[in-house]
Amino acid sequence: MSLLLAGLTVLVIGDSHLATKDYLITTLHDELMRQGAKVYSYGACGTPSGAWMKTIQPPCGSAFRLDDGPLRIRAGEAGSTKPLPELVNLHHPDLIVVVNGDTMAGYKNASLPKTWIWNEVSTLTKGIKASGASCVWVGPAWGNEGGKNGKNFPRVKEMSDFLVDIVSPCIYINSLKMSKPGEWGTLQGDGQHFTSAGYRAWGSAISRAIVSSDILQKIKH
Amino acid sequence: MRNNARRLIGFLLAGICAGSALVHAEPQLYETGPSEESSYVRFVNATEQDVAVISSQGSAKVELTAQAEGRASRFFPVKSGSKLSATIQSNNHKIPVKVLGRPWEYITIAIVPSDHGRVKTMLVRETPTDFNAMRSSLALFNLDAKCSAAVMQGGAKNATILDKVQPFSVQRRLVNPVKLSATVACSGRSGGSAVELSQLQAGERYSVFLLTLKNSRQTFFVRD
Repeated sequence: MSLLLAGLTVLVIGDSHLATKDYLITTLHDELMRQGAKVYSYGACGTPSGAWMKTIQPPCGSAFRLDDGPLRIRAGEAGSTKPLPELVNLHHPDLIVVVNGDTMAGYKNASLPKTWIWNEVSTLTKGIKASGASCVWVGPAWGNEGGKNGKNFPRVKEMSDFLVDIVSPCIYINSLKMSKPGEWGTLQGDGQHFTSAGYRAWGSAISRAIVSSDILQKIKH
Repeated sequence: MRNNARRLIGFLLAGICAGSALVHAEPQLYETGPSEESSYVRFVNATEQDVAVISSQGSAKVELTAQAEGRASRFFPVKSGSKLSATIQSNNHKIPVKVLGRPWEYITIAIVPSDHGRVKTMLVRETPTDFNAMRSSLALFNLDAKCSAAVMQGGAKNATILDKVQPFSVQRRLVNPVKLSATVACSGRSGGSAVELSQLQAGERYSVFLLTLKNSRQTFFVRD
C-alpha cells in the first residue's frame, strides 16, 4: 500500500488496452487498488483522446470496472461511452489516469498526424483541466513490430516524444522506459496488444510510476 | 455569428472533418490515426470596410468587421482534397474564392484592398508542427504588400521575436507563456505599431496581423 495513494479516488480512462479482460483494466486497476486507491476504470477500444469528451460508440467495444466490482464488457450500442465530465461528476476523482497513444499514432500512415493528434489531445486536456483533478498520461509501450496494426518502433518513439510536449497539464509517464523494444510479448499477428504477462508488467510499471510521481505529492488528502 | 459559422461548416465547406468509425468484430484490432485528412481555412478582413463571406449555396454567411479581432473568422475544418468555394461581398462588389488545402495545412484567406474600391484575396499557407502544451505559439502574418520584411519585437528587452516576414507570408515560433507587449514594424522604416497580447496562455496559438490602411500601419491579434 502507498501512503500517498491510499484513500484517493482514481479514474482511469483509455483505449483498447483497457477494454479486454487481463489487459490494463485488470492489471493496472488491481495494482492501484492494492496501493489503497478507490479505482474506476473505463476503456473504449479504438478511440482517440478527444472522444472522451462526448458520448460515442467505440468501433470495437468498451469495458468498465467500478472499484472492486466485476469487469463489464459491452459491444455495439450498449458499449456507448460516458463523456469525461459525466465520469467526473459520478466519481469525483482526485487523479485521472489517461492511457492513450496507440490509437492516434497512425502506424500505417506515412507520417505522424501531429495536427490531428494535437486537436484530439487538447480536447481532452482542456476537459481534464476544467475538472480540477490532477492527471497523468500514460504513453504507448514498445510492443512488437509488424502485425495487423502496423506497429513499428520508430513511430512509437516519435509518438511518445510528441506526447511529452502536448499532454500538459497532465504529467507524462513514458512507457518506453519501462521495457526494451519487443521485451513484452504481444498477441500473435498483433504487435500492439500484450499477452497477460505483458499487461501484468505494464500495469505494475505504471502503478510504480504513479506512486513515485511528483503529482501524488501535490494532491491534498 | 456563431450560428452562421456552424451553418457555414454545414453548407459552405466541401467536406467536413467528421470521424467515421470503423467497426471491427475483433476488439483488439482497429485503424490507428485519423479516418481522413483535413485542412483548415479562415478568412481575415484586411480592408477598411466590413465584408461578408457567403457560402457557395448562399445559405450561410460569416460577417467580418473592420475592427481588431472582428476581422478574423475562426478556422473551419475542410476535408483535405475538397475544394472550398465561397463568395466575398464588400461594398456591393462580389468576388469568388476557391481554395484547395493540402493535408493538415492551415490556410488564411486575406481579403485586401484592390483597385477602384474593390477587394481581392491573398492566401497565406502554413503547415505547423510546433504543437506544445507548455509554451505559446506566436505567429506574425504580414498582410502589407508594401512591407518587404516585417519584424516583431517585444518583451522586457525588446528582443526580436520574429523578423524578415515577407508580404503575404507567415512566421511562427514558440515562446514562453508570459505577459507580452510587442511592436510590429517594417525593416528599414521608422515607427511601428504596438500590439498588446497580455498574458499568453500555455498551449494556445496566436496570430498577429500587420496591415496598412490609408498609409497607417495597424496590427491586431487573434487566438487561432
